[in-house]
Amino acid sequence: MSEATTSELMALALADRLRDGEIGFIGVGSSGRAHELVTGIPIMAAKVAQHRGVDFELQIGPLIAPDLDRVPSGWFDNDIYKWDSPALVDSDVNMDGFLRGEVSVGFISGAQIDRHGNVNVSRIKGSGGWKRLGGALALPEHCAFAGRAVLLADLNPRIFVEEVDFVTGFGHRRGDLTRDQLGLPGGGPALVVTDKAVFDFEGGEMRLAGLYPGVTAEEVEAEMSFVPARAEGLGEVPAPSAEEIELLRALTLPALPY
Amino acid sequence: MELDEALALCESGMALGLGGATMRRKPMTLVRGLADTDIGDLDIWTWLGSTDVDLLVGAGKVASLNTAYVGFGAFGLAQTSRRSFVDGSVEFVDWSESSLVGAFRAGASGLPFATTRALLGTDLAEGLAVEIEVPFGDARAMATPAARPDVAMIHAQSADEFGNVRRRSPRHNDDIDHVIAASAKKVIVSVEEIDSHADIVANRDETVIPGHYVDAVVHAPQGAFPTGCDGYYHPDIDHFRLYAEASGSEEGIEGYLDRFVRGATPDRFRSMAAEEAR
Repeated sequence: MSEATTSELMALALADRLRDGEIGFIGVGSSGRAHELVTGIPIMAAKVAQHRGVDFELQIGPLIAPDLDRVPSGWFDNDIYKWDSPALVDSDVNMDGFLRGEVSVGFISGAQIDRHGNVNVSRIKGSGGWKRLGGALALPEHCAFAGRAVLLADLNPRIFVEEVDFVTGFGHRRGDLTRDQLGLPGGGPALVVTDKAVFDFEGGEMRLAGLYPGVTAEEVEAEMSFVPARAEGLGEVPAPSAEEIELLRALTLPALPY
Repeated sequence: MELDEALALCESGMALGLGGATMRRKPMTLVRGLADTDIGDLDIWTWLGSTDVDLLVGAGKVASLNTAYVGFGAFGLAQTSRRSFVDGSVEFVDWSESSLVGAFRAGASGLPFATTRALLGTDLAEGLAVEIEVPFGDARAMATPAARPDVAMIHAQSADEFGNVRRRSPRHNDDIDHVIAASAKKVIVSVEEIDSHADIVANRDETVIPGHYVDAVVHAPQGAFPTGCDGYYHPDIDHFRLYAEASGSEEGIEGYLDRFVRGATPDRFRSMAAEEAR
């Protein structure tokens, strides 16, 4: 058994933080690494959690609780809806559940993520003015209504910025404005899983909470435009067992069709 | 009904609702037909846009765009739309998914505005949502405009000649076509297949949009191409690649429109696209 890959480390770090009775929401339709971050890794983490006996279910868009032992053969809709599941709801009904608080954990990423967990997927301020990205999708809902939001991203100083150019999803604080003042019902960003380390939030600010085997805090900070606080007793996350790596590798996720 | 007759329901300056979501069930035969008319200055409303929106922007038909997303998923960003954002030729109104669902629902319910909490504290709210005084309890909330398209275009699996739209299994339900249809003043539906009325009556529990909402039905096999239609065909990878490449520049999108949209009947478009894919 070779050593765990970065994505496997990320999936296992995430799996450690999935709880009984929770429903996690992932979206579909991204490509390449983004697809791996917000779709592939959460599916792997959920599979590991279920294997450990944690009663954790996924929701993939409007497809509720798909059977992770029977993943589809492809990522086109026509493949995904063949995935065994007890429910495939309409999107308006799906959004209602989100707003009502049915989603325990939202899995998201961002073009920019700041110290307070604000996320930007809308537009970036460049030297020649604003440049557009795709659009908000359900990111504001993940940030506002999920029991907690999990951010998945590779460390990069252009992504981890002191302050995002545009707030698509509200984190914990923006200037003097807080979640409490806004009355946002969800928990907001609670966890950031990256390629080198894991962060949590303390007092509404991102905090370095665990390092992958062999990574130093300085290496992590070099990939960020702000210096996060460090958790007391900061250390390495446990190296994955051979059995869990094997379980992940047995979960053959379909390749993107493009 | 013929495509031309259906498009006669459209006029310049109207609000146009487009069904489907990203790479699935976009009313592309109708959109290409519209892009090849003199109609313009459109106010587009679509939940999640892709080549439908981008193509209309490229054809110079769009004044403003209300959506929660425009892009090609795995094929990247919508470059024509991005250029129109930078040069200011299209006004972008960026919604979140639930707030835009709420806007269509308000339109469908005849309400003057929708309420949302999803935009609180975000920059999306600027120019879109205003905080309102909530008369009951102490929650904070914002109001957005209702979506009330003059015309909605929907592509469906099948319908009868009266526009009773049927939802056939297997169907991926990740869209809000039934809400968009209900919110619009007029509805044009294109379909893969025409059902007999007797068949619709015998399976009425599968009718998702009743015929009295619908003003025009166009038989358009492959009418979502190059996006997919559940149970019929996948998104067309080759054509999306071709479009993504073409839309990378002004000249490219012009060339695409000349080849695939201007003067192209649905039948001719399909044969050209098939030829191109070889």
